[in-house]
Parts: sequence; C-alpha cells; structure tokens
Amino acid sequence: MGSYLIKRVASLIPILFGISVLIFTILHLVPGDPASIMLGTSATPEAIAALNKSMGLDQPLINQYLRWISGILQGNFGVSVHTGEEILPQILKRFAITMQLTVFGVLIGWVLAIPFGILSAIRAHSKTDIVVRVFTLLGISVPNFAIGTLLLLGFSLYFNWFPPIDVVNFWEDPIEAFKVFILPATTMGIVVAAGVMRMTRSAFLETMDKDFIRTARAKGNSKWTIVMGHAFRNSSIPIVTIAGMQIGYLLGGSVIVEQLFSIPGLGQYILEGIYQRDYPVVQGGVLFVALVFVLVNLLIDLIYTWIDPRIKY
Amino acid sequence: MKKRVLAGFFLSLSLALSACSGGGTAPAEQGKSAEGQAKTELIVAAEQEPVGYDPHKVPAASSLRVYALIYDSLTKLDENMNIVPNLAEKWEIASDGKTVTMFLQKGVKFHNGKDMTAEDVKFSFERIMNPDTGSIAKSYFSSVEAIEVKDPTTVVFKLKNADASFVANTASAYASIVPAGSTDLTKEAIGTGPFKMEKSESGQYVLLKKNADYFNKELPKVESIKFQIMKDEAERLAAIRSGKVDISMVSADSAKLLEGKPGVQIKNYQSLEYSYLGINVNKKPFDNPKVREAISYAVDRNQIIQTVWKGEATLTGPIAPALTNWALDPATYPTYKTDVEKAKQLLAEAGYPNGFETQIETAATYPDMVETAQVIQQQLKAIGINAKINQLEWGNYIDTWKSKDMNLMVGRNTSGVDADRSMRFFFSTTGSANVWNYSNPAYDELVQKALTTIDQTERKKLYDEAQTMLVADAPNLFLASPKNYYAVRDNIDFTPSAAGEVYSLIKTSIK
Amino acid sequence: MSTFRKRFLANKTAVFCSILLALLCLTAVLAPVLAPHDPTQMFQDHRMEGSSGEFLLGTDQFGRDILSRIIYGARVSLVVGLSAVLVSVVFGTLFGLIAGYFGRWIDGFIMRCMDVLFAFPEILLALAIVAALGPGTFNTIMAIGIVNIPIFTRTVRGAVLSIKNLEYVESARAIGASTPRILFQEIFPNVTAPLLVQSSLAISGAILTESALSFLGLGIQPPDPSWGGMISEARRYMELAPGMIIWPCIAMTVTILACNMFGDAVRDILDPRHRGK
Repeated sequence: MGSYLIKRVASLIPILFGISVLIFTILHLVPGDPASIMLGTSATPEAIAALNKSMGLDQPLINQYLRWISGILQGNFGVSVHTGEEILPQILKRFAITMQLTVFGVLIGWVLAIPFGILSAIRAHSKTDIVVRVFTLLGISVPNFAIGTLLLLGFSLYFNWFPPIDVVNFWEDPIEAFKVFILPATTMGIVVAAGVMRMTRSAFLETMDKDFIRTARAKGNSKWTIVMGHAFRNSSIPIVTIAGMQIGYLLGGSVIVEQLFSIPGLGQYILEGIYQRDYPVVQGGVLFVALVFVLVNLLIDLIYTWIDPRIKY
Repeated sequence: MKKRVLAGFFLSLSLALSACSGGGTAPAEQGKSAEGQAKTELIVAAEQEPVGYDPHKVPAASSLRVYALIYDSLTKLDENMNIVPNLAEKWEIASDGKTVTMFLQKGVKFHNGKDMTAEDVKFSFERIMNPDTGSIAKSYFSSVEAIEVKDPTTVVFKLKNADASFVANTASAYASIVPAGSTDLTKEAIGTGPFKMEKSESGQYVLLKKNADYFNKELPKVESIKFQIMKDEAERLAAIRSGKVDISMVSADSAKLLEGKPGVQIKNYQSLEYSYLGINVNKKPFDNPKVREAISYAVDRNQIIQTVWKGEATLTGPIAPALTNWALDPATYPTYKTDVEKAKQLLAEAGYPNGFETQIETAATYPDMVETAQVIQQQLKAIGINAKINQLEWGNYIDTWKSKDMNLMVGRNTSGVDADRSMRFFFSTTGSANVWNYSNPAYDELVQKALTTIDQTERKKLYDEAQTMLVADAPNLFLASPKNYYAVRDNIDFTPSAAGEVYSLIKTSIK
Repeated sequence: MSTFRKRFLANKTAVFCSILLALLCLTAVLAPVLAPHDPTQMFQDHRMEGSSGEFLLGTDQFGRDILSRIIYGARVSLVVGLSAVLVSVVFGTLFGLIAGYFGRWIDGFIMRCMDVLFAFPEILLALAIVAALGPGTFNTIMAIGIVNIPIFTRTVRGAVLSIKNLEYVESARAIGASTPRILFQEIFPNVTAPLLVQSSLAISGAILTESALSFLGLGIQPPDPSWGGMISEARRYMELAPGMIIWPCIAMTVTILACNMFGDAVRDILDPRHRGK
C-alpha cells in the first residue's frame, strides 16, 4: 500500500511536467498578446511594445518558460500580468469556491440520481423507468447554459427571486451560501444526475442478475433487503468511479456555469486569463486543476480498497 | 400561449427541484437588506471585469468606468459635450495657439491628504508622454514640447504647433492627474476624484467609498458605489428585475423587454460609438475604388439599424452624430442611398461582373458585431460578393486588426471628444489606428490643417470637406451609431449622457 | 458476426434507433430539398415571429426560417459530431493498439501523454485549441476530436490487453505474421465492439461540446446554422421568442437520445449478461 502510494505520487511528476509544457506551448501559439488586448483597437505600436516589455514578454519563450517553471517549483506562481496580483492566493480562494459549487452540484445530482436510478433498475421497463430515463436524456442532451438561463429567467420572472450577489463560503454563512450556489449547483446537478442515474441503473441491473442475489432471493429475503444489503455494496464501485470522474471533470467543466452565474471560481479565472492572454494565470490555473484532478483520481482508487477490501495494491 | 408553456414547464421543474432538494429555496427575500435604514450604496452591474486601474496604461472601458471616479483630469465634458473646468479652473490659449496656460483649483487634495499641485500635473503628463509607460494617450499630446511649472497652481504647456484639440484631449480620463512620484499604479489608486478605492475583489466586485474631501463639496451624493461583475446579460436582467442591482447597461432588446415593468426605468442616450465595415484598401479587389463604392451602395445601413439595433441607432458618418458640432448630416453622402443595380454596375465596371469571394472578420465577444456581419454578408450576396464570416475570439480579433492584412472587418469605434481623433487618428496615413492602409495626401493635408486651425468655423469647414472625402474614398463604411441603454431602478436618480457614465454617476442620488 | 446481426435485428431499441439515425442522416443529406427556405435568407418583415403557414416553427431575430435552419443544422451538427469522433477514433485506436500490444515503456509513454490530455479541463483545452488554430468548422472538429482521444485510447488499450495473449493471437505470432498484420487483422476486429459503443456515446458529447464552444463564441461560424450555435444565440431572446431556443433543443435531444440508446442497445447485444432483459 505504502509503496503503491509513493509510486502513484511519483508518476504525477511527469504528467504535471507534460501539462506545463503543453499549456505553455498552446498558449503561446494562440495569436494575440496581453498588451494589444489590453490596449484594444486604439493602441499604438510603441505602447504595445512598452507594455509587453514591462510584463517581461519580450524575453525568448524558453527563458519565459524556465523562469515560470522554476518559480512554480519554489511554490511561486507569479503575478497576473494585468493586475499585478499574486496568483496563488487567487487560485486557492477561487478553488475553494469552485469546490463548493462542484460538491454541491454533485450532491444535488446524487440525491436525485441514486434513488431514482435504483428505482428504475428494480422496476425496469415500467412507467417509472421510462420517466427516469427520459429525464436522464434531457439532462445529458440540453446544453447546460440553456438550463442555467432557464433557471435564472424562471426564478426572476415567476418568483422575483435572484441569488445573493456576493459569493459567500459555506463555512461562513451556510444559509446565504446555499442561496448563492443553489441555481448554479442545480444546473450542474441536472447534468450530473443524468450520468449517475444511467450508471446506477445499469450497475444495479447487472448485480441484480448475479448468482448471489438470486440465492438471496431464493432464501426468501425481501426485495429491499436485497437491494440495500447486497446489491448496493456491489454496485457502488462503478458508481464511485463515475462520481469521482465527475468531480474531477466538473472542476474544469464548471467554466460555463461559473461564467453564466458570475461565480468567481477557478474555471472563470482561467477562462478570463485565456481571453486576456494572462499567461501566468492560465498556466498556473491549469496546472493546479490538473493536480487536483490527478489527486482526485488517486483518492478514488483508495476508496475502492475501502469499499471492496478484496482489491489490493 | 408560448409564455404559458414556458411558465408551466418552469413551475413543474421548480416544484420537482424543491421537492428533491429538501425544503427548497425560500423566495421573496429580495430587498430585505436595504429595508430599515436608508440605502446609501449604489450597485452598478459591470459587464466586464476591470483589468487594472492605472489610468495612463489601461484604456479598457471596464477599467475606465472605475478609475475615472478615482482620478480627475484637468478638464471634463458636460452633458452637451462642452469642455468645462475640472482640476483646472480656467485656461488661456495664446494667440498663436502654441502656449496653453492652465490655472489649477486651489486646495484640492489627493486621497492620501497631499495637496494637488502643478508639479503633479507636470509629472502626470510627462508620465503619459514617456514611451516606456506605453500610454495610448501619448498620441493625444504629441504636439507638446515642454511643460513648465510657473507656480504651484499654474502650468504652462508649450506646443510645437498650434493644436486645436489639445484642451479637449485634457478632458480624457487617460490624462488623469496622479500624484508626482507614482511608479506602480496597479498596487494603489490615489487620485483627487469623488471616490476612493475601498476594495477590489477579483471576479466579484469593486467597491468605491465617497471622498469626503472632494473639492466640489456638493458631490458625490452617494456614500459608496459597488461595481458588481455580471458577465451574462441574462443574469444582469434578472438582477435588475429583482432589485439586486440599481443600474445596469442593457441591450436594445432587453430594454424593450423591461420597458414598462414595475420598479425599473429605461434610460438611453445617443452614444459616441459607431459601427463600421473596415475595408483593406491594399487588398485586391478592394484596392479598386469602384469596388468600395459598389459595396457602399450595396449595404443598406437602415436594415442594419433595424435588425441589429432594433431601430435604436442613427446613421453616421466618420464622426458620430452625438458630436453635433462636427458631424456632417449623413443625408449629404450619395453612397448612403442603397442601390443594388448601381452597385452591380460599378462592380462590373471594376471587372467583377460576377462578384468575388472574400472574408469578413468579426469579434465573437460582441453579438452586435456578429449580427452586423451577418446582415452585411446577406446584402453583399445580392451583388454577387460571397463573404465568409470569421468570428474571432477577442485576442485574435485585435491581432487581425493590427495585422493590416484583413479583407473586410466589422468593428466599433468611439469618436473622441474632438473631431481630430475620429479623423486623423483613425484615417491619416500615419494615424496609429489606420490599419486599412488608407493613404490620401489630400486628406492628410486637410486634417493636419484642421488640427492647427484655431478658428472654429474655419476648422468645421475643413472637417466637412474631409468627411465627404473619406466617405467617397470609403476605406470604412460608417454604419450606425447606437443608443446606449441603461436599466435603472425607480428609486435611483441617474441620467446617462454621451459625456460618459462617470459624469452621471457622480451626480446620482438615491431617493 | 451473423449472430450479432440476428441479435441486433431482434432488439427493438437498436432497430428503432438505427432507423431514427438513418432518418436524421437523410434529413441532413436532403436538406436542400426538405428545407422550405434558404437557412441564411433574412425575411426583414418577419423577425421573431411565431409559427405560421409560411414559417412552420417561426423565425429568428433576423427573420430567418427556424425550420430550415434546424434542417440544415442537422448537417452541421452531425458532421461535427461524426467527424470529431472519427478523429478521436482514428488516433485513439492507433495509440491504444500500440500501447496495449507493445506494453512496457511505449505503453507507459503513450498513457502518460493521455493522462496529460485527460487531466486538462476539456472545454478549456478545446477553447485553447480553437483559439490557436483559428475559427472554422474543420478546426472546431479537430479541437473536439483531440480532446476525446484519451477516452478512446483507454478503451482500445483495455480491450487489447484482454485479448493479446489469447491463443489465436499467439498462433498468428507463431506463424510469423508481421506486427501491423497482427494488430489490424487479428486484434482490431475484436475491439470494434467497445469502440462502437464508445463512439455512439462520444457523438453526443461532441455535439454538446460544439454548443459549449458556441456559447463562448468559438463554435461553427455564422450564418451556418449548428444546433448548438442556434441555442446559444437564442438564449438572448429566450423571453421574446421562446421558440428560437425550444426547437433546436428538441432536435438536439432527439439526436442525442438516438445515439445514446443505440450505444446502450449495442452494448446489451454484445454483452451476453444483459441479454433477456
């Protein structure tokens, strides 16, 4: 176990290195530079050159990369080329917000999905099943920005309600935070629910068909005892897998929801960075997301061993 | 009918949601915070996040609307676009036009308590003119030769040549007066303006507090202004409806929707902006003036006004009609009369009887530009020009604009406060914003002469001639100058004007 | 293979979805015949109208016929969905076969590269690629395709690992068949099933990613209609003209439904454990 962990953590290094090179390369391939974007269509060439120079962007690319990566290795993410703001504290603050949004969204998704998924598996091909499956399909086939806009519009139009405009963390004021995050989290949750429901249903269908369930049934156990006692544990591995993937995926995929609801999360930070060509922001942000993503995957593997002690590393 | 379907769908959805999320959300919380005590904070929705607050370095509108409240310039514009005193209480222009003396207000203090003096003015202008600063306002003051401090409240600007636009240019927020010795204005913002920077929370809001020592004792009328960053129009709309924000810019469409709704008023003004179709006069076939003329005849500017701006825009020439002193009536331009047959004939004369293929570049960030491009594409199709639209991400767009290598390009310009900017900066051969490769010695001479002509009637005549020439040469088709819309809560006394949001915000009060 | 065909034909869902998908493809191919109007033509006097005899599903903010745009949109959306997945399948299969078959450091290297791509937030990667390549249908397809390569690489590699030591592969190796021959003639046919399932799911993902790019302004270029583009444009007019957003959403839902159910059905057919359900 211990050596496995060390090996896994060691394998992160080349991945993170690869990501740092990839993001640096793509970003510098993208036309445009921070100064001309900042100055817009009223810029003069001297102004652009002066501004780029003051941002250290007149250096050769390789030097820029080396300077950046050596900073990162010392825990220094640098400063935003536009605002001069330290990047790491921003990343951490925004990551906390994105994390709350994501966890809340995934929770909403699960709360919707797991009971309905199980229900639809137990009553396969019944009316309940069909309703659940149609909902699932809507969830995965309507773009989330359309769902989010509908929620915003609906709540303001029919309830005259709009979420509080200042983002609050859950540990500061849970009720206020709940109000802040409910609409964006629901937007995410609907998509999450769709995926989890599908997975839950098929995982249950599969386990319900296994020999030991049949045995349990033959022994005269009630259907629900079987579901809760046997099938649930055995179906949980694929469910945990997809949930973990979703958390990892949503961390980066919350971009659109954050943009729509003006949630100052990490996704929005990076997106804005791309638009402004704020290279250190994008590079640092993406690297951080990737790190979290990889760590979440590691965590999921560890959860496996906890759910099913037969899995050994 | 459709509305009811939407409502029904939504109601069932929200029921389902509240049933599943345990108790649901409690609506009807809005407006609670403000009750009990009088509201003193003004909340303004900001569409874009500010990108720094150095007035000499950052021209972005998202930043300007904030720092223009923190800093003051020597002069400013009133709602009728006249130049009025600000930090300078008066000024004198020598008869040869080469010396401008500014007399400063006495007793003006920076937010840090220091007096604002002639030294600060000299420092600020020298900072702008220093090439290392990279200020876009540098080009505004290219005629300045030397700045002399006569006494603590008198500054003398020595000019290389007479410059009729000089005083108008000092009204720009880009020419804000900063404390002498400032180096890094990204870290702190200390000005003389009506508001002080209180807090800037990236991605969320910028909070400004009233400057109690503002030199105009009657202003500002609110205790604080909060710019709340809301990037999506749907979100801003929902927020103003429910009273979560007090003032928000909205599109013409949204303005129509909100009109007559309780609690919200719609206000508008004729903006200084105009949309244009840029034409690269170096690129074949656009190097042929007949082709450009044909395009001008083919484009129906009124349809653009109707479709893109829902009728809420005015025809425009090179100078936006809001600059009433300078703008020429568009009715005088012959090519503004849409005439497809004539366009076809011109195209045939130019050697393209069957038209040609080309590209229109536009910016994805601005829906109005994308829509304008689509309307133009349809109109050009009628004369056989098949244009492909490239909708570019903003950074790419700027890069293409700079490249001087585009074919056609849809964009938006802001006329400066003085005709010189619209004319010389954008279209003279050496003008830094002339990316269209347009070069006409006769035009250059006209606008240069207009710059050094102090007599206003004479100057106006020169600009009239230049405008006619520019429209005929058509390096750009000037399309429409839109109205800008604000949605304002009923209890807010806010009147926007072309003089700029800042001018209105300072005077805004809460009823 | 013939048993597959038999089972396929016996599966109602599979047959139904195939017909639906075929109809969609037919709509796309026959768009010029089916569409009542030119999808880019602007009827100036009919902006944002509801359903009428002339405009069955109403018109958009330019006065363009929504029905015609949806029909032409099928072309764009299906082409983007299918081509993007094709890009992912081709590269994913290639990398997956090589990684799975050769193992050792080659496997390690390829899979680490895939991890790099995978750990990158999808929509941001697609956005950055489109921004770097410039806009256009082809570039959009490439961006969406590249983003999905890791999933296919993993799928194929997994399948290869499970069969590469089976007897028939060993025997092919024993009779001295060349490596490409073994890879493509012996192993590849056996990974097509999981590929098919994965592809049908990825098509819907690709169509959605295109709509997300449209939301960020970098999808298919106007005035060409893509469903995602129509939805993101219509968002601004949701209250004024709800039809503008409802109809393309329905079109998208039906297509994605067909793809996903088709994928599920194929998986059920291939996986004997699911039979009889």
